[in-house]
Amino acid sequence: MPALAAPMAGRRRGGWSLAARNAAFGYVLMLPSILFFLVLIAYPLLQTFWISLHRMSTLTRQGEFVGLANYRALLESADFWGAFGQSLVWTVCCLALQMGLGIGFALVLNARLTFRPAARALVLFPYLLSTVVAVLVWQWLFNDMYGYLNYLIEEYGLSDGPVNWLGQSPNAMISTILVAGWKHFPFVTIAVLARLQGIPPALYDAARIDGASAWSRFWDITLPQLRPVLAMVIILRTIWDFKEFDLIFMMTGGGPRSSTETLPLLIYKEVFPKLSMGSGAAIAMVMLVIMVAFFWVYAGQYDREERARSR
Amino acid sequence: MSIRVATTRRALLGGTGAALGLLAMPAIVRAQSRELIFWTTQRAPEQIAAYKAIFAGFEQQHPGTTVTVQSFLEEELLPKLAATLAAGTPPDLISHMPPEFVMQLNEQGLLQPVDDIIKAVGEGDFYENSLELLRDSRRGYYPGFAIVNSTTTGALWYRKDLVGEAGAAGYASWDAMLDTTRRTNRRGVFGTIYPFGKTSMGDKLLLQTIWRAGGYIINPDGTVGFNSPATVAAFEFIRDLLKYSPAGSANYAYTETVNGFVEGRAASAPYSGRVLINMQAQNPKLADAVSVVPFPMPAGGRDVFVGDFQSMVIPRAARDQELSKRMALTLLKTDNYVRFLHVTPSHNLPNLKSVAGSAEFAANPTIARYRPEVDTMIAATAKGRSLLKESREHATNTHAGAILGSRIMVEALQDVIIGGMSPQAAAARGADRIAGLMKA
Amino acid sequence: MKTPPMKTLGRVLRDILVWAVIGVFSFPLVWMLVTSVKPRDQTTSYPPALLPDQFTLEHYVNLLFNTAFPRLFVNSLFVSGVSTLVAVLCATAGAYGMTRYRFPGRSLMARLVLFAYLLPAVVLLVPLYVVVAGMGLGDSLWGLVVTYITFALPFALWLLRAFMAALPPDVEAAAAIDGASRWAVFFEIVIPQALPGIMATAVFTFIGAYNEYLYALVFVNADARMTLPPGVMRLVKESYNIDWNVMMAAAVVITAPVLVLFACVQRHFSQGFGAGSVKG
Repeated sequence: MPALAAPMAGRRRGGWSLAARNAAFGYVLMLPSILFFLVLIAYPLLQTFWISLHRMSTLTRQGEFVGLANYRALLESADFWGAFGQSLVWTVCCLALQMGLGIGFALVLNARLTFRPAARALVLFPYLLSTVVAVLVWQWLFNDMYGYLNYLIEEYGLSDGPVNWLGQSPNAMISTILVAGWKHFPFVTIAVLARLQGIPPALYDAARIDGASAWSRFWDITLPQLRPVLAMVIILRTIWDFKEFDLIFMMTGGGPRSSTETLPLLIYKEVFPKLSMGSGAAIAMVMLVIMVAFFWVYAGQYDREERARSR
Repeated sequence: MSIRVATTRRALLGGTGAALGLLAMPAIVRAQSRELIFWTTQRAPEQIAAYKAIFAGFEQQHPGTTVTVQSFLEEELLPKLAATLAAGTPPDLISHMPPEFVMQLNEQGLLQPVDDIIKAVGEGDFYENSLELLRDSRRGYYPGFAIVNSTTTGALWYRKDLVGEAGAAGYASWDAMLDTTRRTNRRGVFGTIYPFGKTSMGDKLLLQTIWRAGGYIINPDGTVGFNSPATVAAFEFIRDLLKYSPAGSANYAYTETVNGFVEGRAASAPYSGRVLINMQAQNPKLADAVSVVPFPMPAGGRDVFVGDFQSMVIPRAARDQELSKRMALTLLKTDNYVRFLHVTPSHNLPNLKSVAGSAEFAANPTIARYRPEVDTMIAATAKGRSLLKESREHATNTHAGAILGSRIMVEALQDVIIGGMSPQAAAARGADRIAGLMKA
Repeated sequence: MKTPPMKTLGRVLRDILVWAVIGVFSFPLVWMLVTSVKPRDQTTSYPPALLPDQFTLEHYVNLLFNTAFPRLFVNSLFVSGVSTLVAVLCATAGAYGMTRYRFPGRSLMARLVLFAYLLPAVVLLVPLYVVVAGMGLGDSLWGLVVTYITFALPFALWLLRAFMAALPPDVEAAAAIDGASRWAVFFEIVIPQALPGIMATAVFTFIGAYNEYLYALVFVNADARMTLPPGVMRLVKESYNIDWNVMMAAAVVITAPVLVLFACVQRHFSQGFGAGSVKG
């Protein structure tokens, strides 16, 4: 290919090969990002680890080196294991709810429906809401004195007295999971819907000619086509639900008792109300390790996808 | 010759003066563009407005300074202080800090002694119970002083009309309160509001209930006393009472409590005199239907209340201690002090005897209108104590701030009510956790 | 071929059912809107009125003139705007570098971006708190801008990398053959081609920053420098008198800019979404 070779050879100067100059240009483009990464992510992560080896007051930010004492204390701490369990419950339940609602709505919105564009916009809406807005609206609906939900429930005789949505366990956890499900299922819907629209109609036509039922069409065509996107969505939502702080903190603050205190909230509680930076950092490190595990799974799945596509 | 010397001396003197002036210059220059930051936990709009008006006078007397008023929840104080200390922008003066936090901060060397201010006002003018509370006897100074001598939990507000209709006995004892609460409870109106959210209100009210049952959190000998029959009795009493309290009480703090009572949705509720202000403003129909009694106690209990003793402190990191002190003194000047107290009359009671007994303080329509109620609150206040020093015999408990900060006490109550734990088990668990904190 | 009537009836019934379900899911939004224009006495009365007898805009007036809301709003726009700008600028260059140039550590870099994108904010809370204070940016809007880059940059990089990878490389190659410098290719060919993707990324980054709560809660103290999420939660707790009507009005106003922005890039939404956040 002489046409290509000539200008490139012409640009060879300073003894640098084309590959080296390309690499250098790549680095230059990456440089601002790399700097930010080093200062704002890599260095703080190392700091987290370093602080987790100290008994340190948040007020003075001074403390003694205690080695792994903070970690040892965690393993014996009922608060930690409680929060760990609550994180597990929270993540699993949120995920199940979001996947169920998300896939259901995607299937419905992919089919024929009157005013379908409006329906899609409305379904998407909760996802666009700021968490603070979602919390305000739901706290108002859940309000024990003026809440509309309790009014409806009493009016239609579904329960004898007002339901204690947020002031009792396990109600608080359930209510908060419902809100998280409501707020985040559109993510699943959108992702699945995008994939559904990409399934060639010819596949269904062929199946219909073969006399396949609606159910078997779903099972044999739709689901296999969705499998990759579902895998990705499940991992992403698991990660995001696991690290959720804002929604739970604003909704319940971790209470009542500690019934909605997940690991992120426990970190906050240790570092600020309890002013114990070291043990907060230790919990953060534990969370980090768990996240790395999730990350591994996600990255593996991601690479498989990439390879499948480039094939 | 001598003239020369004299000149030289004069020049020297002049030079020294100029040099001193120069040395002082940076301070002046700094002062000219100084933003002074004032923190408070009193957050009602009218209170903020009063602070701003008082500091407007201060700014006039100290040209070049501007005072910024910032308000926080009690729960936010220490986290926010930590954040500003880290950022190097600490507040110059903090008002209405719970005294337990004062001693906790003092232990870490973060506060400036305020003895000068106390002396300037007159040590004898402060109520003794507040002074003894906030003395660092080991190092011999006061790290803060209480700006109010009132109680938010000691007074139980009630609706005369509802109690009368129900033909109830009133609130003279625990049993009477339970009976009255049961009788006044109906759809739309709760018999009482007993807040037990994980907030300072929840902690204070529980602490007071345990005290009035005769118990201690820490015994006078320094051992943990939380696991006692008094605590168990308090848990059982509260559990009965909560049948008539709103469903969400486990998340209630100050705001929800005062709102519920003022909007007429509860027959009784503990609170400070803020009830009177909000009632007159938001629900004047009921303004004549309310009155107050001391929060009841069982037979054989100990007649004490949880006093607020919310205090004024100067962070050691504040940039100009002198200006901070002057800000504090400005707030303590009788006219300013009364002005602030009068925007929420009877909510904050003064901690200066001269102000409490003054005609200016009494000259307020709300205080005049509700004189018996205000007297009830003043009487309760006189029996106020703090977790710092649960009785005269107790040594100052510097871990009190940590005990409050961790909300162990009210969590033990939540264990009983929400977790379904037996009162005995919850008291034992709480005691263990407190013991853990005391060791730290 | 005519559709049999039974089938039509079935479809109508199904549509009604689906819309009923959508109605239930949208009810919180309706309730938010209704409460924001309802007189207060019809809000705290029992039973609460679903539709008020009269509508009022007083709560919006109250919100905009008698509370700190406008200040919070401006602060939020500033912080989200600046951090989005910085993040998207860096990410456009970085994403292009990562997709088109081969250099040692490239795949590791992509891994790290993904990792940072998934990293929980709370893990960085403690050290960022120290780092930001060390920069002298504690309790300031600039401090928030800096901390927001920790999540805005990886997010933007990740989205843009997918956008860039989807661009056909032919045009760039042709320009390079014609002798255009690497910078010229980047500015004159890549950026215009990727512009829709860049805009969409900017919008999503902005929304993420606009909604951020934890860092804003911890890093800012002064009311004058507070952003919407923690500021509005404070308005709720501050007054000893929660005004739900005003709060719902606030909820509506907070949502407005997000909707407007979203409407602008809506065409690219499922594309960017499908390509960026979720491959598949």
